[in-house]
Order: sequence, then structure tokens, then C-alpha cells
Amino acid sequence: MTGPADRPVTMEDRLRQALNEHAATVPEPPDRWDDVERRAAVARHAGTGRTGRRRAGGLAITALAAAVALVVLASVLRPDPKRRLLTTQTAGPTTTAGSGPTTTAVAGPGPISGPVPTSGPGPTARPAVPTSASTAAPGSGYQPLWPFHSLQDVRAWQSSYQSGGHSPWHLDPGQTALGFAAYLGYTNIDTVINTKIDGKGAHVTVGFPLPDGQPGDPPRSAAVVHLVRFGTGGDAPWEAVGTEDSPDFSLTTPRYGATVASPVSVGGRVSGLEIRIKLQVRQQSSTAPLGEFCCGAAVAGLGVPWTSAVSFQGATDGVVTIAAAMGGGLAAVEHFAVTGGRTNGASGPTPGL
Amino acid sequence: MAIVPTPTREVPHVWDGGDLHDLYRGQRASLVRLASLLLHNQVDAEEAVQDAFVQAHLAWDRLRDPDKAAAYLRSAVLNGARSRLRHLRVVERTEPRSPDPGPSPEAAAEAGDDRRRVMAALRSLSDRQRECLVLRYYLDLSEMEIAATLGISVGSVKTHTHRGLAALSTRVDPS
Repeated sequence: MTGPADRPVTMEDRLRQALNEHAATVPEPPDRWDDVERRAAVARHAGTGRTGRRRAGGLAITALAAAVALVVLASVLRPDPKRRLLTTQTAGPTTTAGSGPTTTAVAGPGPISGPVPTSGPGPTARPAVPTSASTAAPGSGYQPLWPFHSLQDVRAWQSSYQSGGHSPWHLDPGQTALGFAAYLGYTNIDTVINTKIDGKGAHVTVGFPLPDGQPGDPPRSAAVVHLVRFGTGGDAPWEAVGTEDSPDFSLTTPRYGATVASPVSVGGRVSGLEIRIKLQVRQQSSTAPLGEFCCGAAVAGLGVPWTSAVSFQGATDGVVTIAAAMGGGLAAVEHFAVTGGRTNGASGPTPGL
Repeated sequence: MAIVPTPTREVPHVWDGGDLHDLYRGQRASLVRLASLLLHNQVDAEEAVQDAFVQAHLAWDRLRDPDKAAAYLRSAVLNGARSRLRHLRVVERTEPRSPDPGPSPEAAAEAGDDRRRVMAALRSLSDRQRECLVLRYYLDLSEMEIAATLGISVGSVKTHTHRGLAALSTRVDPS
């Protein structure tokens, strides 16, 4: 388009000028920060009430599920030679810790007792009551991902620690979280940013320093690793059992503690621009991943869903770590998330508990 | 095996709400200007921005990074503006208002005629086309940044921008 000398020529220029001129006419808005704080406080209060109601509903569902489980358990305990034989062959000793909950330990790396990790999608993340004695015993659902495979391993370390002070880092949740990142091959994750310990265990935020950052710049967080104490005694070591979901990156499929088989579909939500997600499946007894896939891609955006799949083979431990990582712009791994899956591929003598 | 209870400790947070107040002081005016390009009056624009900061206040523990918070706020303002426009359209359908008298002669004279026609044509576009054009030609965001802000693909951004510009040209200069 042609026009007077002072008029922009293209539609883009005319639009840009019109937008800037219009914006310039907008007067300075008043400072209403008090209104923001008041409304946020009201919303938080209302949200707490809803959470309370959800919890109450959840408790009711849990109670109903427990009643159903009791009925099922009663039927299982009726004379049934085959079932009793299986149970006798695989059931292990019962261990307790003070007044803590009593958990029946079974063959294989059964779930660690305690609340369901926050990385799981809530109550549905709990593994179902096993239909076969070769899977986990009824427990609260934590999967031992790293560094201990079984309570036997824990006791072996406790013994060596008590006699010679070996590997004291097992008592440090931050060092254990960094070790877990290294186990996954995320070698640029070398900084503990924050450690929070509560009744659910330790929540360790790990990350990395910005490659071109100035001294004093805060490191970037990559994940919040969830750890619990594994075993009994004051020197019970920390065990990584999962990661917490975040708006930046989450892994919600497969469900935490679900039984998985190859190929396994993996998915969650992610925020970012050029999103490429690398997947791997690992077990503790193998130095190399059981399977890897690079790379799944997601549409750029905030909290957009992503999904991909990875094949794996050679799972023998009974528990696998399924990990997803994204990065490449600032660092090789900028965010990662994991979930714990169970497999039916355990072979040979199972770790004693 | 059992969990060994561990005493709760006070742990410092990486970020606190004070940063959001700083962001409010620094970004409030520019976000209201952005919202005013998408909405019809400043009151609605200010409310969309207030709503966005309330959302950010509630999500602050998860935002952590001021850069991400700024992007989050921009998206929240756009979502809020879209939602408000949708609401206003429903209200107008059920409670028809008197026809918009348009700007007063003085205002029209004060405002450039070309600007008035461009802004009127912009408001006649679809929400997505208008958002893409405002983000591209007012904030100078890249297609990738617009895609991330709106939660749509880069291809969609290209399509909306191209079609929006074409429609704008036709409506501003019908001849």
C-alpha cells in the first residue's frame, strides 16, 4: 500500500503503530496489591476446605477398599492348597521398628512401607493387592529405586557402617539424591538446592548451576527427589523412591507402582519451547539401562501433555525405574522425573528380606 | 521394614512471596496495557491483570523463577481476557445493550483515524487471531514464544497470524 509519507506502508507497520499508540493512551493503573493478597488468602482458605473434603472422601474410599481387601484376604486364607503353598514358599519374616507399622516382607523388592509418594497420582497410585504371592506384599506402595534393592542390602550396609564407617553418605538425603541423579546418568545435576524433611520423608531439590551464570546466581532446579528411610534403626539409610511432579515437568504414566511390560507407554505434562524428552528404564542390578528412547517431542506450551514409549528387556529385579529427562538448551538435563514400576521378570533366588 | 520417623525441620524456601510484589509493581502497568489491546475498556483490563496476579500468588511456590513467573502472568492475562470476552458475549446475547456510540467526535479527532480503523478491525477478529497479532506486533514475541504463551503449536500461530493479517487488511481498507 502507498500513502502519505508519515503513514506506515505495510499492514504490519500500521498494526504495530496502532497498538503502540493505543497502549500509550492507557493511564497508569492504581496499585491494588492489597486486593491481590486478600483474594489469594480467601482462595487459599476455600482451597483448604476443599482439600479437607477430598481427604474425607478419600478416607471413606480407603475404608471401603480396606473392607473389600479383608473380605478378599479372608477368602484367600480359606483352605486352598495351591495358594497356601505359594504363600509359604515366598513369605519372609516380619520386621518392625519400634511402634511403627508392621509390614510383612516378601520375596523380591517389595514396597517399602509408608505413605504413597507425592510423585504418584494419589491413592490410585498404590499397587493393587497382589493376586499372586510372587509380587509385592500388601504395603503402602514405595518402590525401592536406588541405592538399595532389598532390606538384606540395607542390613549389609548397616553392618559395614557400624563396623568401619563405610559409605556414610547413605545417611545424607542430599548426597543420596545426587547419587540417584548420577545413577540415571544425569551427570550435570550436581547441586542440592533445598532439603525438606517431614513425615513423608525427605524432599530434596536438586539442580545445576547456570553454565554462563554469574557468581551468586541461584542454580536451576531440575527435580525434587523423594526419599524415605529404608530399614530400621537410627542408621537406616535413605532410599530414593520417586520424584515429585512439578508444573515444569511431570511423569504420571505409568502409575507409580504399576506392573509394566515392554514396550511401556510413558507420559505426563511439560512446559517449555523446544521440548525433547529422553526416556530410559533401569534396574539396580544392571549397570546399563534396560532400554532407552530418544527422543519424544511435545508441542510447546505451558503444562501441555506429552506421551512416548520405550522398549526394554532383561528386567530381573522386580522393580524398575522409568525416567524421563528434557534439556539441551541450558544443560544436558534441565528437568527430570521418574516413576517406579514393577515387573514380573524376577528370576533366580529372590533377595531375602 | 518400616519408615523411621524423622523430625520435621524448618527449611528455608528458595523464593518467597516478596518477589511477586516486586513483579506486581514492575509489570502491572505493562500487563494492563497488553490486556487493554484485547479487551474493550480499562476496567476489564485491570481486572484481568488482578486475576492473573491472584493466580500467580496461589501458584508462587511452584513458579520459583521470575522469568517463568512473567511468562505465567502473560498467559494468565491472555486467558483471563479471553474468558472475560466470552462472558461479555453471553451477556450481550441475553441482555442486548444499546448500540455502541463509538468514540466521541473529539476522541475520534484526537485519535488518529488510521489507528481507530485498525483497532476496530482488530477487535472484529477471532480471539486467537487477535492474540497472535498482539503478541507478535505489540510484544514482539517470536512464533515459538507465542506458541508457548498460548499453549498452541507454532503452525497454529503462523496460521492465525497470517489469516489475521489478511482479514485486517480487508477490513481496514475494504476497497
